[in-house]
Amino acid sequence: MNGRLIPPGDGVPLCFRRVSVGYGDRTVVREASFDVRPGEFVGLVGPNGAGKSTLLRAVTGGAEVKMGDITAGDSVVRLHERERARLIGVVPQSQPSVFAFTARAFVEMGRHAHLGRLESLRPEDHAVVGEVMERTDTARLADERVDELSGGDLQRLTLAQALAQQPRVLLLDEPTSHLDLNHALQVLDLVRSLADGGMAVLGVFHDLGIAARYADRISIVAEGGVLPPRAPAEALDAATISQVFGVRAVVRTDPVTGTVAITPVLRGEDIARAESGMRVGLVCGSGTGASLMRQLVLAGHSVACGALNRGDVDQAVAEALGARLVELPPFGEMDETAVAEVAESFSEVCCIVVCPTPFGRANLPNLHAAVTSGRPLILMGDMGPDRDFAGGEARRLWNEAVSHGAVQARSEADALVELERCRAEKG
Amino acid sequence: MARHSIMARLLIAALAATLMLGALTGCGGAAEPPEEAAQIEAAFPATVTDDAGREVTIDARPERIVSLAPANTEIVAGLGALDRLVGVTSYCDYPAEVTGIEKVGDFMTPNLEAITALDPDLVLVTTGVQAEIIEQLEALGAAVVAVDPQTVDALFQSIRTVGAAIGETPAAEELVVKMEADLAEIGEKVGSVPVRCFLEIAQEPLFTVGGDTLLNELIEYAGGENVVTEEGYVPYSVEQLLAADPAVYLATKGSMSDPADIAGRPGYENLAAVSGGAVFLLDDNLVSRPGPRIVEGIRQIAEALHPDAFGQ
Amino acid sequence: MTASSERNRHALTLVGLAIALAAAIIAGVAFGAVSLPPGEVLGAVSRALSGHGSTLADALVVDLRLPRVLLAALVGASLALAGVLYQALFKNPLADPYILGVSSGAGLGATLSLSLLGTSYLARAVGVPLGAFAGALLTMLLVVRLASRRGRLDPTSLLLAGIAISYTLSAITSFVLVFDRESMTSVVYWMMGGLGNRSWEHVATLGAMLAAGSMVPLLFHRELDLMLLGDERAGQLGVAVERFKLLALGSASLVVAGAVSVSGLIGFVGLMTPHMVRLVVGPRHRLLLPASALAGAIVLVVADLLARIVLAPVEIPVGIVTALAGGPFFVWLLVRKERSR
Repeated sequence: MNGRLIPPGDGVPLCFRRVSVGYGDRTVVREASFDVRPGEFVGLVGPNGAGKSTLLRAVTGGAEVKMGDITAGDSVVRLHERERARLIGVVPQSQPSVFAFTARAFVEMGRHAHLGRLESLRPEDHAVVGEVMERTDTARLADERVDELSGGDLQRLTLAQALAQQPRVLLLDEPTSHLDLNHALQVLDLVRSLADGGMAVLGVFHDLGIAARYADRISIVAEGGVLPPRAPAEALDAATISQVFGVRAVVRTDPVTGTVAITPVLRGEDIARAESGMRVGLVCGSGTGASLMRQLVLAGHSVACGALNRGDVDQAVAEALGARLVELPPFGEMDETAVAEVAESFSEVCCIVVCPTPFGRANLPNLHAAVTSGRPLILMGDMGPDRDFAGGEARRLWNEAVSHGAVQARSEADALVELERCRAEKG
Repeated sequence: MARHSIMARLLIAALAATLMLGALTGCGGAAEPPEEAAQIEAAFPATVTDDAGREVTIDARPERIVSLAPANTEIVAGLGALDRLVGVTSYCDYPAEVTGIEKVGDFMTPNLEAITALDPDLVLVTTGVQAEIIEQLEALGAAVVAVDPQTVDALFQSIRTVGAAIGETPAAEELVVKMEADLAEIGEKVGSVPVRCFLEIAQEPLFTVGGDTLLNELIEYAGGENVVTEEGYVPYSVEQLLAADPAVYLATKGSMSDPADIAGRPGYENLAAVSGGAVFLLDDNLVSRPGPRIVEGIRQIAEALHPDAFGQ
Repeated sequence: MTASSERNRHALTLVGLAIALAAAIIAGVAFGAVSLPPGEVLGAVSRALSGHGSTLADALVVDLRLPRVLLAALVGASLALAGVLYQALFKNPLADPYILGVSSGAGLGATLSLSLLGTSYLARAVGVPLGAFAGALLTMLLVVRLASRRGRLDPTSLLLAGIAISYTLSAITSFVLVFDRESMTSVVYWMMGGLGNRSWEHVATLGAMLAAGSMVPLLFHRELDLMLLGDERAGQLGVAVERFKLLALGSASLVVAGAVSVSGLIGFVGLMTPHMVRLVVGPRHRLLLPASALAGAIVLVVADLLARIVLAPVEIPVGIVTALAGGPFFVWLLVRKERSR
């Protein structure tokens, strides 16, 4: 499948051994230790300026290796440029060109390290160039001038140029930043298949979703350090994302692709200081509480969600936003402990909002806890037969709440207004 | 300038006549000095027309003379007034006594302060680059006379003008007569068949003199024919030189330092003058200064052009 | 475009340029201050091959015009070649061979020689080129030394160092001339650039220097292409960047120093020629280098011819002719740039 792209023979691992890198007097990353094994695609992610690109550049001398060693078989620092170029290919963030090379000539430059002083391109070199351009969908650009190409075309062309080196190790710096959806996937599928064919691939990504989807392992670079690479699901949990990026995000395994999907919910900085915030209880599930939960947290309130099943959208959002909840196994039911916990958490809130979630036997205890908590209730929507799957119990609890003075809200906006009134009354 | 020189000639002729009459009639013994003195006194105030076309009146016999050109310095010395010369340029070097006289700058940029310090009553300038300072010099209270002859005849005229200006008319006349005699002698020796020659005044780029220049006239007096037909100071192409192929190659010392050198220049080995060894250096001080020694310059050229006639 | 058709295009281009150069040389030898009928010119050339004739035509053609025209070709080729190298090193299609202050160094060297060696033609014929050459090379060394930081040669530092040295050396040159007014004409004339009165020795010397200096560029043409992508990228693709920069700089400076030493400061050829050739044949150095060298030779042979015949018999310094072409060239560039917006 990879034809000429991957040289025959064993792959070579790229190893960082307690490597500190930087420029001049500045050390950007300290004591990075990790491996990229042949056949593996490792993604480097992290906030801007963390040093991801610096680590990458250090492999080929663009940044200084101040301590430790980087090896690809042998120490790369000691390699001559020519040998290094046959071993390691780099796809940097592409810069626009001032000179009018043709695209084909541009890619042919990748063969430089394979040619002797007096040699020009041999048939096998032309074959490599041809295949590389096919696989990157740049063959049709062959006679165009590089100074007239779009950013996306130039980026794919730069990849082709690096692949023309037939490297065993591939370094990518944001390889899809200029690419449209179609080309981005094409490039990543290509890189994935190269990794599967035995190349060791290390890529810097800004898009956590893409990194999570294509990388075998992910390493987070932040605050001068590098976390050991782990599988995406482990490396990218909500707590880490919140801590490293300052973003509250929902991290779930996407049912369609089977990969980790990250949905940012809100920025940590946007959360108002919680001095004036209340504690609000939320009875929700199946996504009915997500939006309201988000608005409440943004406004600086703390939220208690009752009990939710793992895999429920609201559970993921609650976890992302740091809301208090009792986590149940998927499709599991509440046991006595859970019920007691929920009751306790609801007893500490100012008021409780009941979101328009349907109720069944499994989550009815949440409603029961809310109604019996004695707290002011805000009921959203109506309790019609489409919501009551608990044999009428939900309806009965609803009516009980209404008779005890629960307020009804038609929409989230209404609910929020009622909340404010509730708080004002409390004083 | 021509009509003024006629006027000047008449005036000077009249003065000369008066002086000679005075000398003839005053043939006594002790009576002479006072008469001479009286006659010298009678020469002033004098009015001369200089080479800038200006009429200049010198009130009294100048005692403090400044010369701003080597040629003019030599004229003053040639007229026997060296003792009255108080300022010269840094290029003035003849006669030897001149080196002890105060220097007031070089030919291109005379130093007004230095000149002022000497308190001159007569300043001899040239035209051209020095024309600008004439007014400033006159403001010092000195008489300024421009002396800048472009031909041999004009040189004789200039000598007489300077003579009148400094009160040495008999010496001037004597000098001119001698120079004319020397010229006649040279003319006889060189005969009537001119020798084709070329005169280099700058090496790179190659510059030479054409018609209507003083150097060209000197060549003619020396029995030569300049191969350069253009007028004035002109650049010349080596190709033209090869085509003209002069019999004798002359160069001023400032342009070339060693005649043997010249064979090394590309193309020059083809010149008859080079292969015949007829390459001569001329002393700039003799051929480029319109002064009393110009005749020596002509003689030098003539010796190069007609070696047999001068026993070389 | 297939590889073989590209090779054919290369060959055709170079052959075409070579023919144009031959034509220019023939014209250069046929015309001059003294007009010669074509028959005599041909006769002189054929006699020259078998010995040395003795007519005026022989002297003009073989001793004066031929060495001069050949020297013009060599100087033009040298300057153009150096221009290509500097443009690659600086990744700037408008870099000029004198960019590192080499011209001021050569000027000072020539001035000191003219001032100290008097009027002997022989002394000057040897001393001035030597002085100019030494001045040029020493300047380059000084500039490189100043601009090196931690073993790296950075284009911006090179530029700044070049400008600084250039101003300083020009000032010193002017200072020397204040004290030696008599040399002023010779120095100014030399600086305007001229090919007059040059001998076969000059041709041989510059020929050797050009041969030596063009080895590196021709052998390392791929590296030159890669350098255009930026130092870091070139390194990633396998070029030993810092070593190569020194090699390229050394070759370029050798060739410029050689040209300047025999012909004074002839400007614009080294800048215009590679730029124009690149617009036609593209930036790949495999073709750009020989094509620029040939084109540079043609440009200067023609410029020299014009210098000799436009105001014949007065010879305009060649540098003035090239400068007169330089002005309109830049205007044309500007117009073209505005139009493409």
